Amino acid sequence: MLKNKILIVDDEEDFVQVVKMRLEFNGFEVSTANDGKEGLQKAREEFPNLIILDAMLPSIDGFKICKLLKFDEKYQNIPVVMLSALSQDMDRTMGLQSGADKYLTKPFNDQELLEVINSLL
Amino acid sequence: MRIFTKLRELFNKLNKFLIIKTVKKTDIESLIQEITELSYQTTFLSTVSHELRTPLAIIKECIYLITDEVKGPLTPEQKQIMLIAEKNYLRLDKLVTDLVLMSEIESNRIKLVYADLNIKEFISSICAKYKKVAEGKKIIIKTLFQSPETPLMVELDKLKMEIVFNNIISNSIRFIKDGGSVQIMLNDLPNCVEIRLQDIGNSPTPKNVNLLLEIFRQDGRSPRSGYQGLGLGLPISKGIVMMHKGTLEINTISEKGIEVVVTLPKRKN
Repeated sequence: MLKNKILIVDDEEDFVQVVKMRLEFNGFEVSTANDGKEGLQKAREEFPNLIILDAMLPSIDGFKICKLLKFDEKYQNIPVVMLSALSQDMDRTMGLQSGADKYLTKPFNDQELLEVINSLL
Repeated sequence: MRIFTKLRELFNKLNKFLIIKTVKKTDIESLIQEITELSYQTTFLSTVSHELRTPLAIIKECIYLITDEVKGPLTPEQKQIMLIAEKNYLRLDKLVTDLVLMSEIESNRIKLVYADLNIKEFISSICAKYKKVAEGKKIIIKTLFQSPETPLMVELDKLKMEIVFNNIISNSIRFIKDGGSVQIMLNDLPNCVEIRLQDIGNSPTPKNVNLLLEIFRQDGRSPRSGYQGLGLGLPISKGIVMMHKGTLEINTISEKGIEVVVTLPKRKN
């Protein structure tokens, strides 16, 4: 069976590594990027089934990446889950306004993340 | 909340200076310095909290990757060690969550989502949650409501108010020693409701109970052995109650008992 591919874009390498392990354990194929520019490029080239996107990233921030993808007909159907340490109401609003399908905060709940991913795929 | 109020006072003062136009340059400079200092204080807490969240998320995920045996089975001793790690992660997580919340309250960045709620049912359900823990410490939790079956509707933010009463009730349970009691009374007043929580235990009442409402203070209440915290629970509760335009006070009721009195307007306007 073909595995769903998830792209994780986050500049915290340790964070990327542990989320990757969790997702691979749950049967997903995982691709990663450590900055905004690389993340946007991989999203466009690899066309993942879902993107997990941090908000504060070097080169291009997560909100902008989300807008660039969601306002582009070609990529707007890729679900985006923003996963950020920014936890205030205004950050959540900004994430959803930029087109994210879901906004979760760090530290996240494994079960919740997996449920969100499965509901969006 | 206090910092925000002070900032607003300073901006009003600055506004007056701009209107009268005859003010000294040094007065404006010292005012701007004061505003800058206060702004720094509000952003400091929120930046520190944000920086703590990411490493915390990584530690959490590492713990659960191991306890979920993603990379192989654990021996009973290894499971025991991971339980200790998990317990301390949860402790750290609570501290950071409280710090973030306090910084949001101080800088007035919380948006309340109001809904009608039966306050009797709401408080009873929170008490029910603590019943088992309290029973384990031989502490009795009692709600003494007049006509408990008749709803008493109050407009408030349910999630935020849960934080308030979770803090107040868990604080009482934590600080009174075995064999005490927690009683909650409710008074239906013309425009507001008054909730009185009285705890009586075996610990001496602090000399100045109002210090319990200051951040980073737990003065005078002798916590149970092993408990450590930042003393943010009651200040957070007071901040949330004030955002609802209510009041939160603490009174001494005996040598070994205190009372927390919360008043909340029934309608938001």
